[in-house]
Amino acid sequence: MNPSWQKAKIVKSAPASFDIRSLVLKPESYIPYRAGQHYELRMPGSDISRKYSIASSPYEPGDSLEFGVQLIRNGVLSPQLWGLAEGSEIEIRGPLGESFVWDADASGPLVLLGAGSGITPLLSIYRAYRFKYPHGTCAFVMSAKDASRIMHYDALKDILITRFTATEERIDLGFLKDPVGALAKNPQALFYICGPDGFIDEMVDNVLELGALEANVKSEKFT
Amino acid sequence: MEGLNNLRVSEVNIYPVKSCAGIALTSGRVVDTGFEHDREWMIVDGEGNFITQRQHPKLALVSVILFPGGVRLAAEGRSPLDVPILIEGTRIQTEVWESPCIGIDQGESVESWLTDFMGRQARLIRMAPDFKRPVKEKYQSEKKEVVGFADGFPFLLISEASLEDLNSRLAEKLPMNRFRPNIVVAGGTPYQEDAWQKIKIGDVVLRAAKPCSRCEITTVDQATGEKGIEPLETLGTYRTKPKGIMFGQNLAHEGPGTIAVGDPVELL
Ligand SMILES: Cc1cc2nc3c(=O)[nH]c(=O)nc-3n(C[C@H](O)[C@H](O)[C@H](O)COP(=O)(O)OP(=O)(O)OC[C@H]3O[C@@H](n4cnc5c(N)ncnc54)[C@H](O)[C@@H]3O)c2cc1C
Repeated sequence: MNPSWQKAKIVKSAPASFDIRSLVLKPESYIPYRAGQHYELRMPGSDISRKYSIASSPYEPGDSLEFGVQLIRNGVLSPQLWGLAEGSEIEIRGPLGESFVWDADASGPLVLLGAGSGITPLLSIYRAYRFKYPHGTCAFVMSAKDASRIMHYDALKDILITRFTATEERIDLGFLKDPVGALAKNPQALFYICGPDGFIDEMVDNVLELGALEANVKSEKFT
Repeated sequence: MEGLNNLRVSEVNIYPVKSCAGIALTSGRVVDTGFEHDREWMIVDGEGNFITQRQHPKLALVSVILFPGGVRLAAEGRSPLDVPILIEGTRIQTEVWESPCIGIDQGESVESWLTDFMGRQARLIRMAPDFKRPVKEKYQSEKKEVVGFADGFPFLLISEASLEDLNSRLAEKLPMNRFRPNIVVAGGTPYQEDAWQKIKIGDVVLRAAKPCSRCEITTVDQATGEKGIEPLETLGTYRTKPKGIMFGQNLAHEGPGTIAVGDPVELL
């Protein structure tokens, strides 16, 4: 525990949606992590750090980490991260986070519920789960303004269950009944929820209402 | 016998400017929003978004003194600034965790003081006197409670016993100020506040509104403004609930009164 700051090189920086950029980093020393964890990132020499969830799977070959950074207008760090060229260096500390990790032994059904940039840790968990359990049951539900706001949408569109708030209703209990209702009654099913505070508050209540066990529901807030 | 226990208030704290240093009181006057002057002021950026220690940990180093009719800000190496309350001025529309708020801009001298201290544009606002911010509907009682610029509720209460339990799991013990509570209670057992429903302190009846889900601000050393990784990592191993990492209990109250250090805490 207590990881310290280390250098990492940006090996790839590419748009992954309208407002999310995928950054692939190669840390000086690679530390094994669990799906759902995050790192702190900062510009070299700066003391302003922000946390970013790992989007890559811990089972991917190689020793790099993928992050999805949403551009926050007027923000301090996210615009700087967007501006970094491939080959440049930043500083990172991690892996961190004990409350939103997916345990690789969890072979039961998986429900992922996300909004906006909250997709990042869910993507890591999804990728890890598919690697371990290619035939496992997984419902990956995303809320976003429209398809252009979903990270790696083209690669994910066949498996995602979506609600686009620009043209559709927000996700509510009624909507969740179909994809999640039956799974919620399965005591083996695990629930991971990530998004704005209000989204978490509502979705946790929704899945508990549908019958999910408290011990099986986890959430991660970016605030 | 019901209500008989050894629980006493050991600290009363207010944080007049959200995310700046707090003030320890021996006795706090309770008004409709919680302790008088708690989170009455808040710092916002050029677009009116609120700024906290989450983005700017060094705000912990800004000390706050109340004087009749205003607030004094001070930080090492800078001349302190008296900010008299402006009742009228530019109205600023902002939000605290998706809950809309209206503040009055407290003027240019504090804007330049804060902008200089933080190295980014920042203004001080005070809650507009004609604006009442309701507690989120879902967590309101029929009393329709209101709150200042606090995250969501009039009070945050934590037991010393909870902190002692956490400290027994940490390599380096942490002080209570990491959690920025308004009321600290001595006596009893760790995490007893999780299960409380209604309590009475002094002449104030309080109801447990929602356990407090903790953020990165708990990792900021309040004496240095440095951000670390604890206690969130350790709390995450044993205090995770569906809505986050819980430590402390948010309370809402039934009416005005006084809460003082040494007051017994009665479980109703
Ligand atoms: C555990 C954890 C994991 C995270 N993972 C990710 C991730 O994978 N991808 C990611 O993009 N971010 C993630 N974040 C959020 C990230 O840490 C920063 O808060 C975010 O990038 C904004 O930083 P900034 O310096 O650009 O803006 P700041 O200077 O911190 O903020 C500027 C203003 O924008 C507002 N703001 C901040 N974040 C948002 C937001 N999301 N939406 C709208 N307004 C906002 C702030 O309140 C502030 O007023 C995570 C946060 C945590 C705690």
